Amino acid sequence: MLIDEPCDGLWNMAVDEALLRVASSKRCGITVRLYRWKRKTVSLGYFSTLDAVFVNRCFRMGVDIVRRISGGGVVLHDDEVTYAIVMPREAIRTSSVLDAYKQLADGVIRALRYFGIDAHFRFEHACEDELRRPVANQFCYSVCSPVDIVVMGSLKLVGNAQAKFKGSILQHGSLPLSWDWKTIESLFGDVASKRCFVSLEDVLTARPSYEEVIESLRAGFEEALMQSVYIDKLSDEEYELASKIAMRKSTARMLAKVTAIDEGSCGWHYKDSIN
Amino acid sequence: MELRFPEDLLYSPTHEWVKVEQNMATIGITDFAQREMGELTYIELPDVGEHIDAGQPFCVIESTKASEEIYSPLSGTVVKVNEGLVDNPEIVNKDPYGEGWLIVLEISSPDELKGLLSAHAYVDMLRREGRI
Repeated sequence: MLIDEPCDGLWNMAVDEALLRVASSKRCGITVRLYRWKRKTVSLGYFSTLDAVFVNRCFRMGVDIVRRISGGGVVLHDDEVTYAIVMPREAIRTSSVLDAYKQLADGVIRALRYFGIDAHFRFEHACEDELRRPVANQFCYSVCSPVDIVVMGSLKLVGNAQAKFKGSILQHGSLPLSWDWKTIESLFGDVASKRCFVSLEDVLTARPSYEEVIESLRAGFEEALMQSVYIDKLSDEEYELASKIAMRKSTARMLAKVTAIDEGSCGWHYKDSIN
Repeated sequence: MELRFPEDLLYSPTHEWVKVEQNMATIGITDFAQREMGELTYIELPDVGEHIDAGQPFCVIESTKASEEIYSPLSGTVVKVNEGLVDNPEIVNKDPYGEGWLIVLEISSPDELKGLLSAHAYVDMLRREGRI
């Protein structure tokens, strides 16, 4: 298990990608990583695009923008603990896409129980049409996907997304301790007023500490994986690859490609492959 | 619905199918692969003219918020891509061996074809792995 100090978004995403790529190239065990964000950061799913207006708004507000290797929509990372789990695909005990999400996030569900929170996956109560909805250009928390974790019926608490390479799978997700509603409204408009998503502070009526959340996640994953987890750090190979990825993407961000999506708007996305 | 594995195609252990016509290979993902992924929502295809090595990713697909790399079973140069899938990726689910083809590759290393599987061998592999 890796428990990281708050880092910037570029590094956080580079590490997740490096863990997945290294696991894909060699037989590895299971890695669980818990991490935080040094600054407010918007992360884009692999297929997300943003318009120039939103990008400029982020820059003016001092909000970083990074791209994830995983799918899904646009996520604001702020006061949260993010989990990432990387494991061999052969360790997935089900052929069902939805059940695979459940298996990989079982540690999170168990962690929430330590807080007395009864959480479950949205798909356990979702209709079939919801399973097909593409979400890449939407603020992730305004859309409750079937693979997200909900509380109190249908309020989204944890968003999840995956990336799959040959032989290995990464699943990561955000567990918000609190929400800065003012920032959400400034960035995403009136989605905040819909309040279809919550934080731990909303559910518990008091914000837990990072230490409490990290400890509950550690214990939750230990229980889910049915084995003791030992605290470790990145291997030399993982660290070097993460550094390379972060460097390449930092350069790519400066040379961002602006793509016209339709008349009158500007689609902006930057992708850079490590290959 | 029962999975299909047409016998006139070749298959890779990473669940792509290949149709060879002279030095051209049409490549897609198998019925098993599309069922495992669920309904596709986004797809990214390579550029025409791009060279791909066998075993390297040439395409990224998203379904259920999961992005997934698709690996080329052969080396070669991309001569055609199925652009219609970009706006309608679900075609891959509906017709993986027909309208859901992904790319056409001009094969650069014909010897690599020997490493591909017949339909029977691919099905045997899936059964041995407990996937079907």
